[in-house]
Amino acid sequence: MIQTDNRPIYVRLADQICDRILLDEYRKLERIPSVREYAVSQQVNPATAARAFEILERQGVIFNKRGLGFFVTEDAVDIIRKLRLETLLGEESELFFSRLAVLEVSPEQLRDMYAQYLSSKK
Amino acid sequence: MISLKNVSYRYTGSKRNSIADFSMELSSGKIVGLLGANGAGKSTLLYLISGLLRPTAGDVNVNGYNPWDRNPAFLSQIFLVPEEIDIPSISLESFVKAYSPFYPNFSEESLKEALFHFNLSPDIHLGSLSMGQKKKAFLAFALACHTPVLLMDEPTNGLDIPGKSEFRKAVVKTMNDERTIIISTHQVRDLDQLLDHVTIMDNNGIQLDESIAALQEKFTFGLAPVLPETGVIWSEPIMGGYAYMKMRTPDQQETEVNLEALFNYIYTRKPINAFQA
Repeated sequence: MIQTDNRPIYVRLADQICDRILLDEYRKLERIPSVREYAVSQQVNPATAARAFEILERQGVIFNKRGLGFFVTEDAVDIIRKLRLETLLGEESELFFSRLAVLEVSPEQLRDMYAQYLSSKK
Repeated sequence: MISLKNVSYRYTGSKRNSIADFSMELSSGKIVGLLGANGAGKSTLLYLISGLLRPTAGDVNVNGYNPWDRNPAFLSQIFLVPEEIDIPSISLESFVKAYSPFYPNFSEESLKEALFHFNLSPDIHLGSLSMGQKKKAFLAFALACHTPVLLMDEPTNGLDIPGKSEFRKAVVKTMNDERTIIISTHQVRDLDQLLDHVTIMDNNGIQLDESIAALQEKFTFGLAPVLPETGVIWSEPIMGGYAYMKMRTPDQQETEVNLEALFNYIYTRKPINAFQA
């Protein structure tokens, strides 16, 4: 099996923190673990963890209160959803759509499949 | 700061240099992975830095000290964990009592914590331990000394699976900006996520000396059923496709550095330096 996730660790760590925010494990305006605590629990270099926090701060998902640590922003969930949708519809959909096209799946078929998927989840 | 200038070392009776005209500089606050084939001189380099060997030529300087002078002030700042550990057959308590006074930053608490995570009790007798347990006890002591320079030669050899993960945690916990940790290893998968910096050497010197961040900027690494069409500088068939390394173009996402691929690339490439090209 070829494992395709070759993204750098700092990207994966940032993603993991986003998952925890979406799962409500880290709530808005609450403190998340420090860079060092996170580095220890994930067994990664502290500089790598710091890079992940930098990305999230730049994206507006977390913010730094001087001396107190990092906190989840008010709009973190909305920001993460928006960014993830962009990635999903952008680079991640490329392969899926190219395969659909080769198999000549019509837009209607795809729409029905998606509707079916949603109703099966209810 | 650790600096080596044109350092050579030849073991007595040997016809060739183990290390030849070797130069490197390391600033503090880094965890450095030292990679090289068997016999590349990795252990020799660690012994030169710690003052166990005297260079045949060139200068070694560690935080302002010449290691070979073996100044007590220098020796209290450095700790070496050799690949094969020879510890006396005494209780851990006596061992700590005898050796910890040499290290002003030694922390009893760090030692207890590391022992606990390695699943060792503080009242053990070193003579009754298995090889792996001895290694754990020694590593726990080494980390607890909080020396500004910590050198470890193949630290994960002999550790069990949970032991490797506890070792990584302990290294991160004891790391700070004033500390330099050099880890020589072949077990790159045990340690790659800990490293800031990679140094690959052979007997002719340093073949690569770069930060992980710079490597991520310069190269991408991947696994794919079919090789990318352009830019591939190294590849190897694996089950279901290829592992490859290619030059990164600015529009491409960064990838995690595959140290095995990097090592093989450095050892098999023609003598051109990708960083100068």
